[in-house]
Amino acid sequence: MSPGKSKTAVKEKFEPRVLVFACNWCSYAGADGAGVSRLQYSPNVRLLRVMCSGRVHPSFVLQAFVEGSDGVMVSGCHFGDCHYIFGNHRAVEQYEKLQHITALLGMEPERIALEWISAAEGPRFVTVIDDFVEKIRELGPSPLRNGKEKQHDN
Amino acid sequence: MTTDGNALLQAYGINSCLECGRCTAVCPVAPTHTFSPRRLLSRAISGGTAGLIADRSLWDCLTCRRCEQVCPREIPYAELNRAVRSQAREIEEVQSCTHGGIFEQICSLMMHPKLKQDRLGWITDDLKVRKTKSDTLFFTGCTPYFAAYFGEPYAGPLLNSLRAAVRLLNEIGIKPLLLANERCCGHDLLLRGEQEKFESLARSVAEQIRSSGVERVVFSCPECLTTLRNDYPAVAAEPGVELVHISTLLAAHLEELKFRDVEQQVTFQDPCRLGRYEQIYEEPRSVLQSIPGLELTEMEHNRKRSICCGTTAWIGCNAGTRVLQQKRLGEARATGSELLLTACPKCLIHLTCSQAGQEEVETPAVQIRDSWDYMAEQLEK
Repeated sequence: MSPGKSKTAVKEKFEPRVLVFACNWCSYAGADGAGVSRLQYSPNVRLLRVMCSGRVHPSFVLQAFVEGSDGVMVSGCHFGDCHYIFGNHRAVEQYEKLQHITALLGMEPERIALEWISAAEGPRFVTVIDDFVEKIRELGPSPLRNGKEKQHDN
Repeated sequence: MTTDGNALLQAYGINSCLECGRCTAVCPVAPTHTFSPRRLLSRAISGGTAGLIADRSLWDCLTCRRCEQVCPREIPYAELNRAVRSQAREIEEVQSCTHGGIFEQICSLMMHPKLKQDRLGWITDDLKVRKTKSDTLFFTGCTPYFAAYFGEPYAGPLLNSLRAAVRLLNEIGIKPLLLANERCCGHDLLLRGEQEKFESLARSVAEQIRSSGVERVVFSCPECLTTLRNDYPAVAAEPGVELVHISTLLAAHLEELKFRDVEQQVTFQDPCRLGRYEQIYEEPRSVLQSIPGLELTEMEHNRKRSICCGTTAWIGCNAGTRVLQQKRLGEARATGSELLLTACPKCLIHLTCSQAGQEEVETPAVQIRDSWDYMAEQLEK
């Protein structure tokens, strides 16, 4: 077997574990829309509904990595649509802090994403999620996985 | 498992307590919180650790050791408190951490063996540092993480403090080694009762220092210094090299430091870990006083009687903490100084934060700066 081929084999075996924080008012409804329209999206994500993307403190995202996530996405309403007026601006501030912290920790900053998905954007939800999962698949397992994580699959 | 009263009595000698109440009289926390060191002891005597754990006020203690200074029986309150917290953690009776617990998570992630940090981005071109071999290692501590999390107006002063420390070392002819993958010393984890995680970090930090081949480690963070000196030997993780605070080194090389004239009155905040833990009171003062024209005025509570900046190990920050900090800032203003100099990144963060919240005070606010940053600025170019 050529080295290239074995690398592909390893990559095929790796199934990324991705956590998505979805805001109650837009992104979660967007995911719901995707479901109602029977659109298929990657089974590698776990959705976690929060009231607002601004509530997702940087520590929540780091905790996801402590517990073995390979990638984390925070999703909320588009600017101007936030149910709490400025919550998504808070999310941007938190995201910027996280970028600095993950850079210090030597982790790829691309493992953390911030996306705006409205309640009407079911098909967009699917593309955003699938693209992110593919990106994480390319990056490989998180360097901070310790192999002792609880198995949540199935 | 909780230990009964007798085991604790023997381990920490608390049965020698005279109930004189001196500890509570000087405790900076007691007037504004439910915590009282004297009650901590009487609870321990009557009910062992179970009673202490149930009484959540245990977590209000700053472990600043002010009480230990006045206790006629020299009871180690801070160590006792730490031991009880570690038992509380075992039964999962824990206190939540401020800032969403982010610093605790960063400490936990630092335990990962495959972690490859990139934490030297703050080094500027004018600093002379080594990245592979030197006889001296400069232990930066978690300051780069604090800067990343708090952002401005904290990030600039925090990172300048590190740069200034290296510049001062350069000035006395030391080109220190810096580790891009330096791990946390574990001070905060220990205070949060995470004995196991602390031991794991202590072992990897000691190993990092040993394998770097240095002869001594210089600290600007008082917490890292006291943890490596006093808590690592207890878990058999001695780095086996000289551990020295930057002020001790600078005070021994005063003739090599050429400062320009300043006409300024300043006051100095003793960090608990530097003063009461390490008995380093005079060294930073002697360096400051070697700056020509500088007048050092002392606050009402200074040196052994110094008051803590209000929060330890990111546990709890509340209205009572604010009262304590305001009292301290009031003392600084009362000296008539323009500047309050700190020597610990956490003192700098907490006092700056507290002052930012009180724009309406009548007396002019005192400027808060880091000591090393200030000293390096006064160096003759």
